[in-house]
This record gives sequence, structure tokens and C-alpha cells, in this order.
Amino acid sequence: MSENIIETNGLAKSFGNQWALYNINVNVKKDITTGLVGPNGAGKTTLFSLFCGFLKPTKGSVKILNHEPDHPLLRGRISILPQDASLLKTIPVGKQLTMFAELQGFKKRLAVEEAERVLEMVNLSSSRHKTADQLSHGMLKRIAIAQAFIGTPDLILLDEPTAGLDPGTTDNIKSVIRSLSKNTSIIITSHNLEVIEDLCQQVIILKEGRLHSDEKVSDLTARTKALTFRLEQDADNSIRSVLKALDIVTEVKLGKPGQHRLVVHYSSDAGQMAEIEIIKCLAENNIPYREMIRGERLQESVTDRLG
Amino acid sequence: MLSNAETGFILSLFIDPKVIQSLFVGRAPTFSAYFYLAMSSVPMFVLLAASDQTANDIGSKYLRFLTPRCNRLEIFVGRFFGATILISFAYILVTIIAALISMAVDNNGVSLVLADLPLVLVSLVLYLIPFVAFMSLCSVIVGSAGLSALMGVSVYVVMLVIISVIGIKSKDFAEVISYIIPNSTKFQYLQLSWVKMMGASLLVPIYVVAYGLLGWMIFSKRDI
Repeated sequence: MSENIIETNGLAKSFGNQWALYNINVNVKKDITTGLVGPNGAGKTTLFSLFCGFLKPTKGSVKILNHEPDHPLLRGRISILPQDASLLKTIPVGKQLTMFAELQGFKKRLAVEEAERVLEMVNLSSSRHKTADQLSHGMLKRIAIAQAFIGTPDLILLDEPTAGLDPGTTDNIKSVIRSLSKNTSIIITSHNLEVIEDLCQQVIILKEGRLHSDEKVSDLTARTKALTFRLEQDADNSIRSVLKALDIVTEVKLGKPGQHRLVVHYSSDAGQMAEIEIIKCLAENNIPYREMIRGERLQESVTDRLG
Repeated sequence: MLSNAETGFILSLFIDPKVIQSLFVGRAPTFSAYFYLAMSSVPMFVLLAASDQTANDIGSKYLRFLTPRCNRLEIFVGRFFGATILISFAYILVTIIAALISMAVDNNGVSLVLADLPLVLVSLVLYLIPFVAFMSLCSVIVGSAGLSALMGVSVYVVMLVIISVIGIKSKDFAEVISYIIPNSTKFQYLQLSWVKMMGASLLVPIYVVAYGLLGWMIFSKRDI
């Protein structure tokens, strides 16, 4: 049995003359949560849709759990949260979820209970008799998430699971995903790199339709050897030389204009005083900051890599 | 009134005399008139009623909720059967109402209508099935029911015009070409004879397989 839950080989997809994805060779590992990230137009949703079988490859192949997407043996083994799909407008959402559960093989009575269970997971039990027209955008998103949690799939694919949700609901969904990830492989696409950093162990980065990198999140975030500052305003380039003058500092990264970010890497043998020395240096040079985080966040790391 | 000689003469100006003879001699005239109208309405009614087998769900991407739970072939075939059952049920219901009316208003209505009712029902259902299959083909090509209906009606009308134009030059060739669209068997069904109906019904699976296979080839490969 392969250790990979998804394998692609020379996968490519074009729309007309435009290549949305080109020559993607990627293996998604089993039993972990994997993030799929990249800027707009990088091909995240296209790759996700190829994994799900919504789109057919122009070239190459993709195997999910050792089968082609759409294979009858995958029924009930994968769950998908599609990004833009709409539920039926005239049937109550509870009934639609019950129907989905029945299609996954649940008997009628158990399907009703399963629909109830997943609605509770997204705190929408009271909305089961409402139709899609009677629910807000955020609630519909939660219903769509709920349908992806039906049953006990081997693989859950979530396209932008927290887009359009308020912070409280985002935290709730993140906690549900975290608890499901103990028994299930999960793939998440998101623009929100905090979500990816919080939930994922592996991250696949796409850039301009090509595979940029496939790495462990822990390798990208260097938690113990860097400090990330959110400054009051963008730092001047001169701060680079000021900080580099400290023996312990190995690298200084400035955020793009408007980001107000500063990342300072220091040597691993610098000891506990290193952080204090860096903060003191900023104070002496009159550079105020609003927030300081230990380590380099995925946001900075990915932004840095994508140039 | 529908069964007298004068009406027969007037009708023969518009309808094939053979059909008039089969429908209005020795039958309940109201029920026969209903049958003729129902058969004539099948193309347009079915082209509209069966237009949304998969089209709207492709447009709204609702199929993305279904594909992890059932494969595309099940969706395609299920939608075809669903549309066939729904439209057949509508015709059966209206036919039963027409039969009751005919029993009430025609001379010897009860016995004449009861004798024809099974044949009328079977003929209507068999005649509409190829149109549903035709629309399952149109429905997988576009992303909305409106566009699917427009496409179905346009193709149907354009084909009728082409066949008519070819018919001016060569009647035999036009007759062969007319089998591309599913109303080529209408004349046989309208004669209200079990033998003719069974002959015409042989084409039903051919139409279903031809349109269905073409539709499936597109649906199985298209992005949803």
C-alpha cells in the first residue's frame, strides 16, 4: 500500500491556449494535513479540482487512494468542500445533507442522525429546516463544510474552508478540522496562511501554474531562531545594517511596502539573551513595534519564497 | 361532430387522411382529438420540460456535491430516467383526465375510450422517450436549463427546415434524413394500431442509445 494518498504524474491543465497548471509531479502523504498555497492565479483551485475529478487533465494523470478520481471505489472514502458550488435553493438544507448521507450508504434513519451530527459540528442545528435562500453567505459556507464531514472518509479536501467566515466561526471550523485530522488525511487550500500554519504539517506551494516547492511547514517557519515584528510603520533599509551589526544576528528581512514587517534571524547558539538584545537594539534606534512573534511565520516565509 | 364526414373533409386538408381514418372512424372522437393534440405537443413540451437534466447543476456546480458520492454515469442515467418518469407521469395524468371527459361527452364513450386508453398511454410514453434522450444530450453541453432548451428547440427546428428543403428535391432522401430527429415515428403512432406502435417502438432504444452515448461521451469528459 502506497504511503501517498494522492500521486500526480506530469499533470497539466489548459483552458484554451492558457496553461493553468503545467507538469505537476506531487505526492501528498497519508495521515497528515497538507496545505496548498500560492498567489491568485497560481493554480490552487485548478489542482484541487483535478484531485476531486471536477476537471479532467489535459495531460498527465492523478491517482487518489490508488484510483482515478471519479472511480466508484472512492465513493464514501473522500469528502470534498468545493469553493463555489451552490446548494439547491428549494430543499431544506437538513434534507439535502440527509440525501448526501444516504448517497454515501447511510440508511434513512441513520442518514437523518448523521445530518444532525454534522450540522451540530458547525453550530447550525437550528437551521436544518431552512432553505438556502433563507441563510446568509457565512451560514451556507458552514453547511457546505458540514456536508464534507459526513461519514468517515479517508481523505477530506477543503477548498478555502475559512473564506468568508467571521473569526469566531473560523476558530470553530479550525478546531473541527484539527480533531478530524487525527484520523483522516486532509488537504486544504487557503489564502489565509495562518490557517495553513495552524492546521498543516506539509505545504505545497504553487507559482504561476508550476510546483514551486513541497515542504514541511516546520522547515518553513524556523520557530526557535527568529523574531518577527509587526512595526508601527515600514522600516527603513538602514535598520538592516544596524541589526546586522549585532554578532548574534544572521539575517534581516524587511516586509514589502505596507506590510510593516521585520524578521530577524539569529544564530542558534546565541542563548536566551539574543531576543533581549534585538529588542533593545530596536528601542535604541527608535523603531517602535506593535507585536512580536517568536519564529518566522509561514506568511513571511512563503511571501519571501514567492518573491 | 368530430366524426362526421364534413369535419373529416376539413381535417384532411391539414392531417394525413390515413391518420384521420384511424383516429376518427369507430373511435371516441374527443379522445382521438386529444391524442392527436398530445402527440403534436410532445416535441415542444419535452424539449422544454426535459431541458434541465444536468444543465443547471453544471452551471451552479451543484454536481460537485454529488460526484464524491455517485459517479458521473449514475448521475447522467439517473437524470434521464428521472425526466422520463416525470414527463410520462404528466402525460399519463392529463390523458386520464381527457379519457374521463371523453367518456362523459362521446357516444359509447366508456367502451371506446377504455379500448384505446392503454394504446394511447403506451404510444405517448414511447414517443416522448427519444425526445428526453435528445435533451439529455443538449443538457450536458451547456450550463443552464434555458440555454439547453434553446439549443434543443433550435436544433429541432433547424433540422425540420433542412428536412423540408431536402424534401422538395428528393422525398426519399428527406425521409431517411428525418430519422435524425425523433419525430420520424409520429405517423406510425398516430394510426393507433398495436402493430404500428410496436414497429415504431423498435426505434426507441436506437434513439436512446444514440443520443445517450453521445451525451455520455461529452458528460464523462467535460469539466463540471
